[in-house]
Amino acid sequence: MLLADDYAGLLTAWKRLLEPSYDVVGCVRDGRALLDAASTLAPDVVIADLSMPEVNGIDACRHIKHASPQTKVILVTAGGDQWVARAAFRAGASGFVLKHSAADDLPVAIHTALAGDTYCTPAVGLDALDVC
Amino acid sequence: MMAPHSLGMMALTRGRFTRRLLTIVTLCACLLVTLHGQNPTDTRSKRVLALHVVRRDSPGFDDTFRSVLRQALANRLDYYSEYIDLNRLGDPKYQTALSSYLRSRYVDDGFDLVIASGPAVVDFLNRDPSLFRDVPLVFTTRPDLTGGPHSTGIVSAVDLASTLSAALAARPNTKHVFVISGVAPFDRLYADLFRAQREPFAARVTFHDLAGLTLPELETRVRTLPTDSIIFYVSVSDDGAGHTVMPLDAVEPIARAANAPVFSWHEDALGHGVVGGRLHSSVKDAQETALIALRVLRGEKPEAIPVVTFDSYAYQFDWGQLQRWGIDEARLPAGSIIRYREPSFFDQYRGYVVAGVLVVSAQGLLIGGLLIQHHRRRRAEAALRQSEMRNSAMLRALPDLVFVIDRDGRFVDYHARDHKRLFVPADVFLGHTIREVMPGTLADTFMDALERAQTSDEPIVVEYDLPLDELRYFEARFVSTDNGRVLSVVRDVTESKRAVEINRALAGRIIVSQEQERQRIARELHDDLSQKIALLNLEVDQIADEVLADGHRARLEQVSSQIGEIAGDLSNLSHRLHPSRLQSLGLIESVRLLCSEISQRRQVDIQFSTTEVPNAVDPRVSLCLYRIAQEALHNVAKHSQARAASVEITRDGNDVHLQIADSGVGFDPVAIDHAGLGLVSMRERVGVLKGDLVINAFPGGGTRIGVRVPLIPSARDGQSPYKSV
Repeated sequence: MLLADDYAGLLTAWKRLLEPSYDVVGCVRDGRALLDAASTLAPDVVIADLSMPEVNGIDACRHIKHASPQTKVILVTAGGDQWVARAAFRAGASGFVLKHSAADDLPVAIHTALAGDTYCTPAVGLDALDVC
Repeated sequence: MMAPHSLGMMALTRGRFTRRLLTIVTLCACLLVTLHGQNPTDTRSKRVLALHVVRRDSPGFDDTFRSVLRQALANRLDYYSEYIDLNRLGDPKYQTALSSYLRSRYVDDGFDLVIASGPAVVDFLNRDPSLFRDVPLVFTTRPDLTGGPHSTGIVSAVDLASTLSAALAARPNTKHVFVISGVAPFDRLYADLFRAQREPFAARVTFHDLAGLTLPELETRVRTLPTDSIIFYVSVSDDGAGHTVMPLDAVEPIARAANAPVFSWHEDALGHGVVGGRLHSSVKDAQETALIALRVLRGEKPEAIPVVTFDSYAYQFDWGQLQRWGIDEARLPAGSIIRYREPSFFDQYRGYVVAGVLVVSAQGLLIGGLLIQHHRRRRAEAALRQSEMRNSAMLRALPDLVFVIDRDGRFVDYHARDHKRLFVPADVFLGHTIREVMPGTLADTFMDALERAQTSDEPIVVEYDLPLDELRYFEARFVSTDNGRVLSVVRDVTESKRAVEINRALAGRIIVSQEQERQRIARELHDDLSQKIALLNLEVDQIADEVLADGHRARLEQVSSQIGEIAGDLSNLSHRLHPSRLQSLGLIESVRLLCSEISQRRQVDIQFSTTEVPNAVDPRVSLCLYRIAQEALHNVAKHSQARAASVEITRDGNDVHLQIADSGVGFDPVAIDHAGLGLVSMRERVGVLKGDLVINAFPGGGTRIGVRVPLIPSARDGQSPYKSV
């Protein structure tokens, strides 16, 4: 797992949440660092905040998927709607999770992504079929 | 007693009036006589001898009598006069000598008529009846003394009392009457007559006889008479010192010296210093006598003509003397004749006065008319001057340039408060046409405006700019005046135009500033609060997983759910404040999403297309283009009524182009430009990035908004006070 969020508190919380089940290979604080880490660490899953300095989550996702199509990208956002979610999936994301429900949704999303599927937080109201 | 013939002694008439009257009466008499049958066959001159007791220098009677006869007889008159000295007539020697003289001179001359003028002459002839025995006699005498058998004439009583009565009436305070008379027989005769007639007045006044005094003595005496005195002048022919004087010669110095008014009884004295009185007239006697004489000359027998009792007296007064003594004319007897009245200026120059008044009046009218005309002209001139001053003041107050242009576009006149504001100096454009002076396209515009102004009641307004020392904007208003001329009022609107632009820029900056502040708040909400809440929720969820008691776990999950709702609300609020997706999705995706959202919500088919544009562009460019797209699509959805629209983002070298087009109702960009803050903010957003905004829109023709901004703006353009967007 490679985690990216400009908010350090969340990075720590996610790390704590995921470490029992997954190997967290890195935590970065901005989009540029994410792209660098992704290319060097070659993680299976990238969990990235949608809004990050330097390069935003969508662009980062597009680059990662372009460079390493097998890498799964789950985008996390503090506030997002179906339109953002659509954009995320169009950029190649495998999951779209709201931060405040991350404790419940993030494990599901990782699991779904690793299974080769896409997951969208139910609160966004986006039907999986709508993606792409 | 003496007879009235003596009155002739005083006959020294000098008044013009008297002479004129005499002439008139004479002419009347002639006419009368002529009518009374002059024998046309009798062409021989009549020989008449007149005997007077008056002196040659008192010719009143004689002149009048002869004149009347001469006129009546058409100059066929052979007339002789003899003057008998009355004062010597009492002397028998004188009488004898006189008879002898007359006999030897006249008796055989065949006279047709002898005139006896005065009782003394009648008396003399009666004493010598052989003298002129067969010659008819016409006399003038007193009642008790008439002529012989071949005679007729007039008799006249002496009235002195009436003068006294009138004098006392004129001077009612009179106490003393000084009676002046000489010592000659005639003087004495009349003094006696007066003494007899004054008796009735003796009780009222005291009479003082001043008889036999020399002329100097009299003059001295009359200077110091008591204040309540009058003088009655009888006659002075001999002053008692042996000096024979003329009565009229005497009366003048006496009257001049006297301190009291002098009254008398004969009209010849009038004009010689006497006030007047009831005056005997020798002239009237002569006229009356002449009428009778003519009858005799024409063949009537004297004895067949009855003697006429004649009264020639009349109240007459000297106006000058009345003034001298302050005698009121009202105190004079009724019918009194006032002589020598000093004619008033009007009487003297009546003709001149009337003519003068007419001329002056005419001149007055003319002058009045001219004055009125002058006044009117002055008023009109003043009004004109005022109007001109007002116009001039208005012109001076006007900051504008004013040109008068004729129908051919030629500059005829101008006004410029500041000549530096003229495009070219006055001598370059005055007398020249617009086409000769103005730049080509502007000249066309001006000529068009000129033509339209000549047929329009409304001013034709043209806006233009000129490259003066800097580019300046002008507004020209064309208004038609007279003779096809047009007034062009040109105002420099550069400053107001700049002010409008500054206002717009300011409004834009406010919007940007507001945008930035919203963005900051949104970021605070999103990046800080939302994250913390997310973290909090994560913690709650983890605690919930670790709690074994079902009841507590359920409650913790409930809390987590509530926290999730708060996070959602915050997210929405943040998004409304600022499109945070721009950061998360980038420009292209955000705009694409925007199109999708609006298409779905507003039933407008919005096609989005893009080429070669990196999703990650400068945040200032992203925000600018996103907001313009958002505003434009909002307008499309809300106002255009369009069913379809298109959004296109393309790259052209270092520029990004955004174009939003619809097929809706369009709008008037000028009208919207003044009111639409949305378009203003668009312009401002583009402006701060040094880009261009083009709006192609017209009512009914759809709308096309084109934006060009540099892909990478210079560092300071539109920089946010915050580190990034």
